[in-house]
Amino acid sequence: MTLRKEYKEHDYLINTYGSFAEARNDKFHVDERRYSSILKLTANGTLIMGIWSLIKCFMEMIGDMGSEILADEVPLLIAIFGSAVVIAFFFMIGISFRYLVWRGACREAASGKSTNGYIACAIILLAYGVYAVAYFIYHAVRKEADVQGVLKLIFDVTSFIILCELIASAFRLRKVRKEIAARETGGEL
Amino acid sequence: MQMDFHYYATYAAAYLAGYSHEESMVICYSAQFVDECTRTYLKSIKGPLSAATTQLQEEMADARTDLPGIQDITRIWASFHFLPRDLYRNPKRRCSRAYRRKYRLICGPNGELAAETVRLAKGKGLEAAGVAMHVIADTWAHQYFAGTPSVVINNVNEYFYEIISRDGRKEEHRIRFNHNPATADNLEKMEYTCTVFQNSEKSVMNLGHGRAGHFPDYSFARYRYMPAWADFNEVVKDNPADYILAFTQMIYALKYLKGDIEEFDVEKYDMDSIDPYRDEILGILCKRQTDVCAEWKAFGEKLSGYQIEDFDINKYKDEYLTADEGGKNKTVLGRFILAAMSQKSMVTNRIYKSGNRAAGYSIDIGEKGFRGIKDYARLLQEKEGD
Repeated sequence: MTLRKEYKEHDYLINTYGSFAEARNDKFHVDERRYSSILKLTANGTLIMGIWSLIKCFMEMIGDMGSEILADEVPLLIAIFGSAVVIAFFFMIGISFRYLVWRGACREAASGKSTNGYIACAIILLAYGVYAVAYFIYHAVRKEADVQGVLKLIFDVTSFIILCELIASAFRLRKVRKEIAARETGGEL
Repeated sequence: MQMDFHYYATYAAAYLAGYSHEESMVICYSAQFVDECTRTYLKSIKGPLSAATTQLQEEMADARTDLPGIQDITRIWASFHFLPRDLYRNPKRRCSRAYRRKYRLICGPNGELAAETVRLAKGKGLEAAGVAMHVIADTWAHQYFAGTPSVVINNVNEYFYEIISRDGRKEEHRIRFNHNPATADNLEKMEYTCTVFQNSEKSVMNLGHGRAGHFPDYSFARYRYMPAWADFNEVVKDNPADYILAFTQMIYALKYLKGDIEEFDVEKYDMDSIDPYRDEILGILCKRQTDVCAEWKAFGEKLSGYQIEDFDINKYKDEYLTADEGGKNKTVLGRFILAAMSQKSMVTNRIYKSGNRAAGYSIDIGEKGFRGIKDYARLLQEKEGD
């Protein structure tokens, strides 16, 4: 099945109305669409991971706070205020980074405006991912790891892989777009 | 395609092929009736349910999506609206068997099945000709989509641009799809309705061109998009050019069915017949309107000098209901039903013989005797009667 229109029997249409468009299916345009799609997908994945982290943190806080209030160890108002501060802190550090990564990656995928800010945020999150895995290995070696730790490890590894794919796609996309721009101006990279 | 092409344009094609006004009316009625003949309607006329050529939205909502249900849906839609182009084609990349089965159902014009569809209608009456014309026309409008629910084949995403010529310049505008079926398509804002995204592979939302809404059926549509099966390749679709090929191929096919031409081959178009009317036809096709029934009707009436009745689904209902059991097959609806079952039987058989179970099983009656759905017994009786 051809993806390009073959105008044979209806040259009349071309002569009258002009050839209106050609499919851009050379390797560079196909790669541009592919990496753009992967970049957007991994950006969405990063954001979803961040939202899940926040929800998990909130659930843990509710659980701990509930048990402390029930044990009358902490007065209610202080517990609520303290939880709000902790959640806000995690929100700022955790999800804001991921939001910046998501926003930058989506913008680059859609419009081609590339910035390095979101790449830097992604690298910071990657560094945290390395730390998280090392932390688990350390505790596993000391036989202090539990089921929750294993689940957290799976989450962190997944997040790590998504971020690696995001950064790789971003650079591949930039390279392909430079190549396309060079070809359109008559040169080659 | 819509009523404007299936009914009025088919009338014009039939008239240009040399049929009389009355014959052209039967042909165009049958062509449009393929979009109306649902199980609900067949129940109302106590007709065989296996002759259904389409499904209502309500029927689709109730349809099962287990294996037999999917095969039932595929039998209807692949036989009449999304005729596969090449049942033996393989995707470029390695893939699973399940994916390959669906890939091979992708619709396109000028395939072997399209030729068989026309040849099958030879000598079977005007109703069979109408069914064949509907199938042929839809292979042009519905190409690149498959008549089976599949998100990996039929899905489209936000990479969907309409190409418009304005003041001699080509402009590309991203189309916005919304999922409210109550809203009409807005051509000015380029907002069109489509089915909701469902990541379930077998959801009926992913059947045919539902994910692109009615847009592929508009004769003025020229667009660029990325089909899910194309591995990030894009497709540029030029409906005015495709529809004129569909129209001229229909004229050629109808001349063959009439007996003016000895053989029917694909990739042949009777451009000479439309020479005096080319500009007028192109003007209708390029008119940026969701419905050009009035324009096609005026063209057809100008051609023949007769008035073309508006489509009435119940036009031949009483004839069928009042006929006795032996005489039902001689009525218009009776012959339509036979033609539809014949077409469905042929396509299902070809899909089955290609090793593809997407449309279920098919039995060669000639080799193994009659088995299966008793509705098809009347096909056998008709053949024996001949």
